[in-house]
Amino acid sequence: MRKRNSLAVSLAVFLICTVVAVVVAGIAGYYIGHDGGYRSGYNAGYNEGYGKGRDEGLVAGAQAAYREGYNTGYSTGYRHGFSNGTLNVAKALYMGLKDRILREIVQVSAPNLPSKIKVGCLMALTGELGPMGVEIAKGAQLAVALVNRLGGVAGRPVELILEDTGTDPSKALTACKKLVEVDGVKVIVGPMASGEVMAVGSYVNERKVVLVSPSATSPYITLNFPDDYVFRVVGSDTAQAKALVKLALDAGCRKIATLVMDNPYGVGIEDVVSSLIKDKIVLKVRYDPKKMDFRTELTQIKGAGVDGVIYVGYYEDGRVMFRQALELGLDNIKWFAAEGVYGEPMLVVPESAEFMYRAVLGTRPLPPLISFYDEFLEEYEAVFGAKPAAPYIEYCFDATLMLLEAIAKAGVYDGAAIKEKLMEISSSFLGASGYKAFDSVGDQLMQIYSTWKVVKDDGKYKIIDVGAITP
Amino acid sequence: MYTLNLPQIFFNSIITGSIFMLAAIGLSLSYSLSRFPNFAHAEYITLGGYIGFLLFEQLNMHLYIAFTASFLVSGLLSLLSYTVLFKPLQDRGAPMVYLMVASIGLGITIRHIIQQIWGGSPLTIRAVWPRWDIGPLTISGLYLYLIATVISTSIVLHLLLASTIIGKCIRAVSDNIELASSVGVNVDNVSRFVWFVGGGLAGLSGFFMVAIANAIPLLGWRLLIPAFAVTVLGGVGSFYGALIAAYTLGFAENISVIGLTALGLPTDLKMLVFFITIVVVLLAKPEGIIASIRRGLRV
Amino acid sequence: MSDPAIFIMHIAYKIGVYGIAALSLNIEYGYTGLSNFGKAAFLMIGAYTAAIALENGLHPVIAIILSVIISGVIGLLASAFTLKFREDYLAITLLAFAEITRLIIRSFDDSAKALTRLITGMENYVNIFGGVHGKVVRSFISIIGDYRLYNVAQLCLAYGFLIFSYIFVKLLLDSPYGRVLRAIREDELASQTLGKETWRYKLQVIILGSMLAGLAGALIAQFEGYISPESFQPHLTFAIWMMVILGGVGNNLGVILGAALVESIEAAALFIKGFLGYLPLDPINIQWIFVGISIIVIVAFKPKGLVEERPIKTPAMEVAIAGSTRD
Repeated sequence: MRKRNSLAVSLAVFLICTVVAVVVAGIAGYYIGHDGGYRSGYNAGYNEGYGKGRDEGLVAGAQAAYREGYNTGYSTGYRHGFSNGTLNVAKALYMGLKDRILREIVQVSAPNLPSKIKVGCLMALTGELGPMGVEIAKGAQLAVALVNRLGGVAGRPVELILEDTGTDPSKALTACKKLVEVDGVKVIVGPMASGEVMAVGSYVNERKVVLVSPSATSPYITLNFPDDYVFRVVGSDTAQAKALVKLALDAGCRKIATLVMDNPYGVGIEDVVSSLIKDKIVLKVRYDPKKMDFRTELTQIKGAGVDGVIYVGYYEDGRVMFRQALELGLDNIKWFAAEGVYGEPMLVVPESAEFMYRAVLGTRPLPPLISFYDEFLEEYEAVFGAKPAAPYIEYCFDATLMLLEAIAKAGVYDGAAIKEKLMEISSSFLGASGYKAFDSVGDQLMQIYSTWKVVKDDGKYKIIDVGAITP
Repeated sequence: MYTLNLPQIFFNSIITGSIFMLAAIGLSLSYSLSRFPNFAHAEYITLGGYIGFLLFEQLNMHLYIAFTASFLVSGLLSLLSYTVLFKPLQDRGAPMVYLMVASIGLGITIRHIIQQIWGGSPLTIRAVWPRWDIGPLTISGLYLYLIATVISTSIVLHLLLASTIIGKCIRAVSDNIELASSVGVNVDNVSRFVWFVGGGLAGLSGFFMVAIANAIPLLGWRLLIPAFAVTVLGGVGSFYGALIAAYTLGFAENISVIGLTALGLPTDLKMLVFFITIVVVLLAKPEGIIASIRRGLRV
Repeated sequence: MSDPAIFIMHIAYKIGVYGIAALSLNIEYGYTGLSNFGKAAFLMIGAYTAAIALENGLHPVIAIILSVIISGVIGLLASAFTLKFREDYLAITLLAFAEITRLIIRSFDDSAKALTRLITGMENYVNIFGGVHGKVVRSFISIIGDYRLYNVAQLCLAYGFLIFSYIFVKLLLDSPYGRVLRAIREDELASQTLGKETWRYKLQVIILGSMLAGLAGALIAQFEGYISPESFQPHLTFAIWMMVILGGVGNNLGVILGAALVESIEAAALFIKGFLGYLPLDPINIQWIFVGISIIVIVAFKPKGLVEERPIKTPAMEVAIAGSTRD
């Protein structure tokens, strides 16, 4: 019996041992197996995670760094630029117009200049634009008188030779040839109208004469004479048209009519406006500015049910247009007018002034906040005893001063040299009509437009600026 | 796309037609009596406008004084140019082309004298006219003056031509100058009278143009081609023809403006209306369509 | 660098070209008695044709030929219907025609645009005549190096054409053909009874005049380098009339002299206005008042002009003159 017992015990022990071994082995195996899987999984995961994390971390880190650097740099740069700019302007203003002329034009050493500096001026003194041209020419006369009073260009007196274009491109060319060939000028201020500039453009290029127009706004000038001796100190119609469109869209107009003079100025703006907001233009009217009875045109606009009118005209037709528009009750529509109708002469006729007060918002090239306009005005009133009576006088003044400064800097009276210097000085020139930087084709780099409207103050009408637009 | 304000367009056309009529009557009558187109007629219109501007705006005189003065001064200028220049030339047997050329020379002279005195830039009368809104129609007091002037002028001229001796003489001279003088009509006096009245009426049209719009030296020149169209369409020398033709062309001009704007074309092209009228009428019926119709109808 | 000769050549060039224009009016008005008050239109057509031809890269010779032909064709079209009119009607019609031509050229591009939009519904860009912006014109002669030499070449071109036109007109008008034209001027009815179809002669003269005017227009456009519709207003026509009347109606050398006078007065105004500056007078007004008064005075007192028309030397005339002196 004992043997059976021992076999059973040994069997049991074996079984128990086996079970224990199995359990232990199982537990150990589990733990060992788990641990290995975990470890290898961990390792693999770690490796992969690390790789990805590192890559993404690098990008994100770089971005963050870039962002931070950008922001810091921008604000620092802006601050520095701003303070520098302000400082320059403050310096310039502190220095004043006359000091600038003294430093940049009068007190320079230029031994190679002739004993007398001739400046040609082509203006429409008669004809259609005659009344305006006589006023604008005063800008050039003022600039020359001022420089002469302060001592002349590098000590040499300046002579202004004024020629009439009669508002006729062909006469403008004859007068221009007279200035260049007979009087021997190398720099010309003017002419006013875009057609006249186009007529003399190829000739001045050929003869290397620098021409700066104070008031020609047609984009066709740039198209026909891109890189050359033709410059202008006023923005082209494209910019003005953009400003007008912006004004109209900001006012919430959905259906717009254009009403423009049938001449380069009006048609130039109309073309740009209609290419910008083609779907919003419901009626385009080009009127003959000489016809002087616009009632049927206005009746058409009234019938078209528009909520905005973009208007381009001059004083003479503008007065009649606004008077007849008031008569036909078009003052419940918003009118947006270009700078041609900006000015006191529009307010002479009470009905036209009343209409402008009720309905018109306008744009014009801004005599900027930072400029020598006040000093210009002071000089102007001292010399001519009246306030400037036309737009663009300060532009003509600046054009003349720029040319004189370019001559002083060039040191020789030679078209090509003056042209180079004109481009160069323009980037830092601050005049009565603001900064006058040229772009590569001789147009204004930047033109800011102010918006204006007519207010009634105590029964009297006056025009005030109400904002600014950068197209 | 848009609604046409027909009553307003109708009214505008009446205004345009009235101006054309005042401008053209004198041209038509002097053309038939003296047998040449007087291009200096344009300057009678301009001068009337500037005289009106001078008295009414610059010297602040009463409207009626300015109105009368425009009539008188333009009429006198017209009379003077006839007696001093055109009559002696005709007496010397100058051909029609010379008279035309002389009238252009006279026109250029007067226009630039006016421009020398008042300057080339437009001048505006500042007066504010009373205004009424009648339904879709807006009417200003100025237009009532114009319409009153045209109606009274038409009545006076009608009575003058139809029932006075002068009227009969005018018609006789206009029809056949030799026959009229042979039956004892004083052709000279009749001509002087017609030149004076015609110039005066042209002056009035200038006065109203200045009041409606601006005074510019080219004012009359711009009315001259319409005035020729009226003269030709109505028949040279026909008062009633000119009356009807003026209003027809007034409507035609305003309708063409509507058409041109609808097509997106500049409204300057409305001048085509006058040109086509002139050529077609001269080709088809040189004596004037309206005059022929009237003759046909025996009105 | 500055060269007064260039300015003088500029004026001389204009004298030459307007001399051609004045010659063209002289054969119409001076010889045939046709009062063409639409001269500016034919100058304009010539100028625009040349400008468009040059823009499209055609040879200058072809451009000139095209200008002359197209002006002639338009002259034919304008006068085919109107020539049967009385002279006053003709004057009015041609004056209106000139204004209308100007307006059409001015708005042609936009009209074409509007019409294509109406017909095809598509927006397209048309730029043929340049509309109100005018056109920059290439010169016939390319500028090589010396600008003065270029001007001399231009001057030769203009005066070559002037001399050519003068000889042509002279030969034509001294021929029996020219005598028919004078006969028409003096008495159209009589010429008709002599079996001459005056209408046909008049048409030929208008075409010829328009062709010469077109040539002058092309020469002006290529020299000045820019044309716009505003340059061809009625006062251009009157200026050419002034040249003819001042110089002598029916005298070819006279009208060229007239052109020289009118252009020189304009150029001189640039120099004398310095002295006139103290007077409150506008030189342009003075100039035109002078023109107007001269027209009146010449028509009234010297209708044949400063240089009178001379009778043509024919065998018959010589016999007649010899006969009259013998008696």
